[in-house]
Amino acid sequence: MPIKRRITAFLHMLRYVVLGDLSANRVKYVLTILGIALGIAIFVAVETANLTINESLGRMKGYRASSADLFISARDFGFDEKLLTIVDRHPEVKSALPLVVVPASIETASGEIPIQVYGTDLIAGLSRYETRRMLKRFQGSFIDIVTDPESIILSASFAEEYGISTGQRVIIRSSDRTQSFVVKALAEVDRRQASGENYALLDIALVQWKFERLGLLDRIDITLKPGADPYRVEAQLRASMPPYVDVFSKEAGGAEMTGLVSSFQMNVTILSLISLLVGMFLVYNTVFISYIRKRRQIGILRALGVTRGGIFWIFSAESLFYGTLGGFVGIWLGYLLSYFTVDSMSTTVNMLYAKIEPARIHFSTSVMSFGMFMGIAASFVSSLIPAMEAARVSQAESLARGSFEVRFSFVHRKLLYPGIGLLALAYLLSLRGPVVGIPVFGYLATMCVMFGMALLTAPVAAKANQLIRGLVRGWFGAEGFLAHRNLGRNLGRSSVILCAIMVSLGMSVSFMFMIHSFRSSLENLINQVIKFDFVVADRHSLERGLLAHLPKRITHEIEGIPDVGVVEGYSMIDQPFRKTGIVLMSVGLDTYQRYDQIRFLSGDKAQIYDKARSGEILISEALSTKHDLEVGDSMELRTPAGTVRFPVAGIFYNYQFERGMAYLDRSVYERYYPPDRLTGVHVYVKDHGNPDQVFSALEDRIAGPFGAVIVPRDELKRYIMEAFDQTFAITYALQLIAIVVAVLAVVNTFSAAIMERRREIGILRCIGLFRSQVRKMILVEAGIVGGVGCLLGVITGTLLALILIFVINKQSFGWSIHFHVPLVSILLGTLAVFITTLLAGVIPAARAASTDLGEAFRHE
Amino acid sequence: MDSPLIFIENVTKIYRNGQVEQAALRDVTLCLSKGDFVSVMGPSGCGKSTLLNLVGGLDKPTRGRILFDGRNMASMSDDELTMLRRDRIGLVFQFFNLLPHLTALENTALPLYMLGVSTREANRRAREILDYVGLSRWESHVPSRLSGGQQQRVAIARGLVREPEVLLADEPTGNLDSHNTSEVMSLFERLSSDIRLTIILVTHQADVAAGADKIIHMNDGSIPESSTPCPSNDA
Repeated sequence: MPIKRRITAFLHMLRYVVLGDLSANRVKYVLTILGIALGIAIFVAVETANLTINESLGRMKGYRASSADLFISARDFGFDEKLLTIVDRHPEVKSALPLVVVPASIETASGEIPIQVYGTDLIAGLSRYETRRMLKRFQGSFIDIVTDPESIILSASFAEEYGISTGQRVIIRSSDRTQSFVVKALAEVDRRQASGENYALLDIALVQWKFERLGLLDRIDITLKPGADPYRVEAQLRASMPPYVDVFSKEAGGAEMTGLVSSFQMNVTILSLISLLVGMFLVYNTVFISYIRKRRQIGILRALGVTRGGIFWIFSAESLFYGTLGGFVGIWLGYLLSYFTVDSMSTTVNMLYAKIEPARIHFSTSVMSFGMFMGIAASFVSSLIPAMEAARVSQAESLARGSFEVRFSFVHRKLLYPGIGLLALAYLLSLRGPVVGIPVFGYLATMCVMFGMALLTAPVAAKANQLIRGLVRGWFGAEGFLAHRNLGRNLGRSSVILCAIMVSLGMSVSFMFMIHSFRSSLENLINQVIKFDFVVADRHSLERGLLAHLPKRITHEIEGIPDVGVVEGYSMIDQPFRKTGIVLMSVGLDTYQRYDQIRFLSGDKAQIYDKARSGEILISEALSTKHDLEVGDSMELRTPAGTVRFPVAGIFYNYQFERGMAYLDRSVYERYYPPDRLTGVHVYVKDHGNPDQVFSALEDRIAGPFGAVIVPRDELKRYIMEAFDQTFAITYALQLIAIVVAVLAVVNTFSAAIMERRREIGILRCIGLFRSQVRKMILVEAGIVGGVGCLLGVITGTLLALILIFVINKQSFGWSIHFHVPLVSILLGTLAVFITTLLAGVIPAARAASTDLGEAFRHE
Repeated sequence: MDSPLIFIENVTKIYRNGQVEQAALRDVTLCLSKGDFVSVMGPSGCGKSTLLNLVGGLDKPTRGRILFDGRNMASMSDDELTMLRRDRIGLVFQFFNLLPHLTALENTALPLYMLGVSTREANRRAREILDYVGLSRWESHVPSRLSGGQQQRVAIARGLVREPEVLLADEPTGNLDSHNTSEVMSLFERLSSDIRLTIILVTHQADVAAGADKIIHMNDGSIPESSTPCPSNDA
């Protein structure tokens, strides 16, 4: 047959079989499309958030904003400005722009707001960064800005937000230094490139002078001559720099930051796919129901000469219709949802990795196109089995009723062993280590658990249904008896609803386990290690991240306060180490030992402390896991004093930084790092001292003059737990959406089943079943399905939790989480899903009860 | 003549499909007393099944009234009609309408289960009826494993298990071969003679109709007046 006629014939069949009942089954189609749309929406929203965060991380330190080819930086330390001369002398360097970056705050009508002060060679820099074009609303002239020691340039968006205009005098405070400036111009930059909206520009000499950075630089931006080889120049410059100074490209600077969050992003992405998986069950069910309802039509078409392939494509076309519409709606829903996901995931990144300020949401056409593709592909894949089943059956079988269910009742017993086999495979996979730091086998194990449990659904449901026979009959009488029998008869179809409930509840339960276990482990740890009474930190430390810039003399001021026992200053710095870097903290180990503030994985505490005091390093469990470091191994760190190898004295529990953390005793730290700045101070009140009086004194004598904030111990613990809860906000949303999709599947399936059983319900009504009894029967059915689904969900969730906690979490983040059973949460969550399933049966039950008997039997 | 158990008075039933109206019954009047065994005969589409559906409370007349034991069925609530079907009317259909996933025993006992009778008692009574219809050996079989005649006998057993006063049978032999037809008909005759069950049997087969005490011919939704003598009834 010519291709044109084939297509025309196919379209005719499509109209006859699929489109013919569109209007009659609007609810079914809408629910299915909505299910797919929600799955796609959450995927698109999470991927959009990932892109936005990566973009923010990439431009976090201004690398991408710059037109430079290479950068020189010593992370949190300044480096000698003489290094600029080495760079300038390199024959392939066209220009080198020095930068000093000072975290500060500015007084505004809304209070004190954090701001980054950039000091640069304004004359050279302005031409290089096209800053002349950027500068707006001058007060005075361009030369005036460069030469006036009180002049400052502010970002236009920041000035507008806080009502600051040119000519206005502003107070800028950095640590204990307060400076006054006059705003001479506003700078407007492309928001996509800006590293943050709150910044001020000054001439470099002015910043070095006014903020105690004389002779120091934080960064050099290098532009190469045309034709220069950036890799060669990078290598040559690196060789001539001190070990703690890095030379890197724009891409490397961004990639290092995005690499930090890759595990977190991958976990959320995988989690987002669960909703799509549940949506796939919905499509499977809808196409399957469609096939069952249209068996007679299939039989007629086959009798009229339609091939098996033709039947297959008719049902595949139906799924492609769901996928296309669902994908289309999903990407727009995802667009709206991404405002939430960006906010939520940014909070997590801020808490655990680095301070980011997403300037705007990055909508990518590739993400949206991929979302569309996923919708279509997921729908197509999920319809494969029913479409093949429709194509496979013989003409005679198509015209007979219930052939699939009869066949399935024999097949389901055979699913038991493959299901158990997949669970066994999941166990074996979970024993394998990560691949390039990614828990690939862990993810595969979770898939095996889900598919294994899916295969076990029918045998378990059959067994459970058998076991509860007496129970439902005793409790619900004839309605219970009929519901029990209906479930046994429609095992194939019910299994799909059970799978949808099982996967969505399983995911929720596994996260309840993980979050509760993680929360309990964290709470336990902070109760053990936070022994100080107050922490004194920079007022804007949250916005600024890891920067040590409180003056060291703050400790002497605090020591002078009555009732203060021990005062322990600490510094936290971003330390280069291999690809991702680590957080290095200087601590007073005597105090830590005295208050027993470190929980080691193993070993003799006294010996570990002794070794650490003598120059060895203590590392977090995450650092040990990620970099395969054990006690006795050495860590090579590039310090301002040169490259130093630190033997590992002990490994401690810590959940603060995924990339890893290390402690050096303060005396050791100061041998290699500049000792003048602190990140914060731990204050311990004397045994019989009055904490309230100490707090008042700290507020009076320290908070204002040093721009610091005083946080009592309990408030800090509360803050940590709140931060923890915030980081998991997105997982709750993802779980909720997966459950919503599962409920759609339940409503859809029950509604379709009622349509199909209209006649049977008519018979029951004829022989004396009241409307209320019909309603009860359907609700009992929903209850049995919900109950068995919940049981399977809890089992699946527990298995997934074991893999999440002991495999994926351990391999992704390197954290040991102690397994805790959140009994109340699981019971409440399961009950909520069970009740939701019951509620999902209410509308179909009402429809069933309203069956018109005359209509049901009229054809006889 | 006994006072009528079922009094169908001037009943008209019109089905509407959009703007199109079709009268399935036109001004039908009919009286049935306890113990009557009546066959309603007529060609396909003459309104026989509609008449049965109205008497069974499955549908409501457009005009006229149906009195069951003196009570107007049109004034009964849905629950009252359900109770009437459950307690006083047994229904038998052409396609048997057994629940395919229940055994012969369970299908038979189902109306008793619905009534809250204990499983043991319900099954005991169902067994008695199955024995009466000659199917005690087949009680554990699901419908798909029974012959058409056996399925119809299970359907009759289900209709009888509540010991109704009326049995409404809509083409009960329409799907059966001659052997099974005669088995089912002899069962109806036994029911009529043994327990004086009121039976309305709808059929288009003259030999089947002949088994009844009285034959009513329907044509185009009407019944000739001569075939429906009714005593004066102003209930």
